[in-house]
Amino acid sequence: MTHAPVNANHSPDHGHDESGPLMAHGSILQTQITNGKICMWLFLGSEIMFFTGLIGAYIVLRFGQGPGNWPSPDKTLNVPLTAINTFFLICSSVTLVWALQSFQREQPAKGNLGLLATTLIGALFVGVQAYEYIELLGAGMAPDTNLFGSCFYVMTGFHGFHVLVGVLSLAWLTVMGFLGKFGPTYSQYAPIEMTGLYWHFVDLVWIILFAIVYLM
Amino acid sequence: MAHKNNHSVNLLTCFLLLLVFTAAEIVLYEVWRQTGFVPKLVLVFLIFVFTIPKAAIVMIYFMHLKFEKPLLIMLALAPFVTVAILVLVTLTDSQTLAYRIYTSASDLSTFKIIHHHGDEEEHSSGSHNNAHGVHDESNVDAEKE
Repeated sequence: MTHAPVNANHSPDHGHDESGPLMAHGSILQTQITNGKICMWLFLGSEIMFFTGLIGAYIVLRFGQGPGNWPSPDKTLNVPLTAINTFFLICSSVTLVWALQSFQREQPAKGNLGLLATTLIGALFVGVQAYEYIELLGAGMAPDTNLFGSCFYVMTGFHGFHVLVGVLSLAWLTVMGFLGKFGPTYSQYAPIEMTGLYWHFVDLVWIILFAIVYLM
Repeated sequence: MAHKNNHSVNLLTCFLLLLVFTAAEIVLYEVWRQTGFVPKLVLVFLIFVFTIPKAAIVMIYFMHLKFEKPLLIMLALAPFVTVAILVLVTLTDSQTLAYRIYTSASDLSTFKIIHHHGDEEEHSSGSHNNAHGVHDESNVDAEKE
């Protein structure tokens, strides 16, 4: 074996499941990371910069007005309602981690329940946000009312769109789960893990946005 | 896969920590709003003291970064370097912008800041259009007049 292939020293104890599609790809064998996970993190990196761009614009516009010239969020926004909504989103992240762990532990019934709960809680978040928008629009705060309105709707709107995409993905995963598509091997639960990364990222962005838009 | 099935997360602990930090943020904000016990800048700092651990818990445990290969951790953390650069530079720039607004405002006798009752609402045209509408502190309806 003087000309052993590059992957000859790769063994399952590196953490890969034998059943996955991982063994066929050279990049996996060198980095020990799946292509899907690298791609998802690259995508999330671009998403981080996307939201940072929005936050940067908010900083410029808000600080640019000088002290005292920016509407106080608590007089304009419904902070308690959004605090509850934040709680919902945190719960949905927890149920999704629980779902993934359940599939990994060969407990698909619990996994399906976790996926269903995550989807419903995510939908609840979108619903509460829609209600908040309707209330604000009714109170006369529209995107063109003032700079705060523009910033608020752009930041929370883009985040809400991300949540909506996540909810649709989770709904699809839930259907696949109840059809018995997921299992304890990596290739069987990879879709949940990838969607989970995206969903937790959306949760993370909301944690930051809630602090910046509602509490500052 | 870098993480195997035995890399489970203590979900309850993470959940409770996230809840406690969120509640602490809101309580802190509410107490500040009613008493104003510290300047706004200190409040912002204190809120970030709670927000950053929350974000870290989500990334480290929920997104499994704790169990990933160093390469992936570096990949995940790299954007935060650019985030830091962007935010710091933007903060500097915003101070410049604020300075410019106030300097030009003092030069233009027609520019006056609207106060609560909207009785001083004369504006200069042009460059101050963007500033219009954000001066009223409390009542967005007043902007509609």
